[in-house]
Amino acid sequence: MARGRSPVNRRPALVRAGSFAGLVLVWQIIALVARSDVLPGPLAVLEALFAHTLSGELPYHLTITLARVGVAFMLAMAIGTAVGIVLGRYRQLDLVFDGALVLGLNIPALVTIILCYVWFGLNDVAAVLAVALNKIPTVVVMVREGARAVDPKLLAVAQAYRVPRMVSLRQVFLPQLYPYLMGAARSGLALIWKIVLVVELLGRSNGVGFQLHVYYQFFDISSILAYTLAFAGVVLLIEACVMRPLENRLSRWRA
Amino acid sequence: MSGLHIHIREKRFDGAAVLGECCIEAAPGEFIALVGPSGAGKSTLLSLVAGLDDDYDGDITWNGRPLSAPGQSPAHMGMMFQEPRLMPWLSALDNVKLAEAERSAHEPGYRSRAAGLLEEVGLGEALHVWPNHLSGGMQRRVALARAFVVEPQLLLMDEPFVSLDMPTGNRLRRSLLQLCERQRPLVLFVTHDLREALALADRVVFLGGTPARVLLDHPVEGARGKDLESAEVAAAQQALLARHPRLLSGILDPGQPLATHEDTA
Repeated sequence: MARGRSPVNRRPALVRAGSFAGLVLVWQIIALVARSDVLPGPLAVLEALFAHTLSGELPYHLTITLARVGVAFMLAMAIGTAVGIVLGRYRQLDLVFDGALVLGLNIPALVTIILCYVWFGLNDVAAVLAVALNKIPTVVVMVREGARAVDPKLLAVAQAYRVPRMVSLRQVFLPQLYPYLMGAARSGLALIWKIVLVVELLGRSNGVGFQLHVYYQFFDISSILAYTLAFAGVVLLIEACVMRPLENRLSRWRA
Repeated sequence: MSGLHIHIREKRFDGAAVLGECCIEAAPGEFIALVGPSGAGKSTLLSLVAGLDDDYDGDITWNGRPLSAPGQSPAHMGMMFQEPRLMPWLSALDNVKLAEAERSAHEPGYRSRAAGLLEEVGLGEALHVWPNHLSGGMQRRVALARAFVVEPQLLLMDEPFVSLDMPTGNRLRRSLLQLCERQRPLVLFVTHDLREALALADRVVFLGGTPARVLLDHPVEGARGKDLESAEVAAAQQALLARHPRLLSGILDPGQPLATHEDTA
């Protein structure tokens, strides 16, 4: 919409850029004052970022980590959504599984990761599974909330007009869940990429998490920060280029 | 037996009977208004006929056969609710098309009538508009088009024009009668407004009591589509209420509360 480009609405972007610049400045000042090897300045980190990118090492590990994040994310969303809908719609099942859900929400990520590696071996299947298992309970809880709030009056319309099941799911049921699914997806992405790094550190020989572990042993803080920034940058990009446009598209009828 | 035959023996909600012995027969193409005090089970009766609720004791048949399979709504049934009940995330056109989804899936070469119907109800310019950008009257028009897009033989209307101002309501009532003229569905029209019932319907069935029963089956004189505020409607209302002063409170006569069917003469 044309409105988004007006000068009034450009101000938030300016504020964002300003606060980011301020953060970098504070970082630089602290680095200068501390004069320590363990706190490199922004320039040193940028230098490391370039070096690792040009050598091809950072893109390689970044891609692998992103692939794991992607698969784990899809898996967690698909299973969490399906289970959440069922629990939201059927009270009896909800009663049966509520305890398990609370347990799932409270098992530390580290425990799931260790157990998955022990039970399924040090491989990618175990790694991705561990991440997905960590996320599924939160997706279930959010989607269940949405499924409980689905308007029975609109479902009655679909029934009265004999709308086929799949059409009804897509055009009547799921649109009522979109706000909850978007919430689960956003918080899911943030959680999953952090857990993936831990999984990689504990049991994989590639990926950003593995690299961070290597640089930790070398005490190479510049490289650690370079990898962190690169990955955070990619996640921000996904948020800005996929999540936000998708959310705008799904909620444009509210305008 | 031709047409719709409703015979409810009992319908309970949480143990309490809301509908008692109820018998209503209607011929194809007939326009029947259901009138009664709120809580008299009019909407409940409609949802039983619609197949939205099959937890009752009784039979609802069409030409002698069950109107719908258990848990299903009948084909060629249009329905309007007290609220427009449009999907807010679908455009006006897609809302109407939603009611065609079953036929377009099963009839090869089925051509959508949605756009044509929306034009007919005066929304040709608003096909791609979301419901929350439409006025209340326009939203009802979309719901009206949706009810007719299925080429209804049976049209169920649950106070569809309630809370509209008089001119908007009148325009919608005219549109409804025009569409009925061509399609000739059997209409069950729930209302608490006796004038609306007398202006639109061929017959008015009064419900009342706890549990609700049919109090009176009253044939309406004159053609459909009378003006709600006309002298004719006012006179018919007065005559009816002179005979049964407490009819709208669900009481036929203090002396004989369960009489039905008055003679047409």
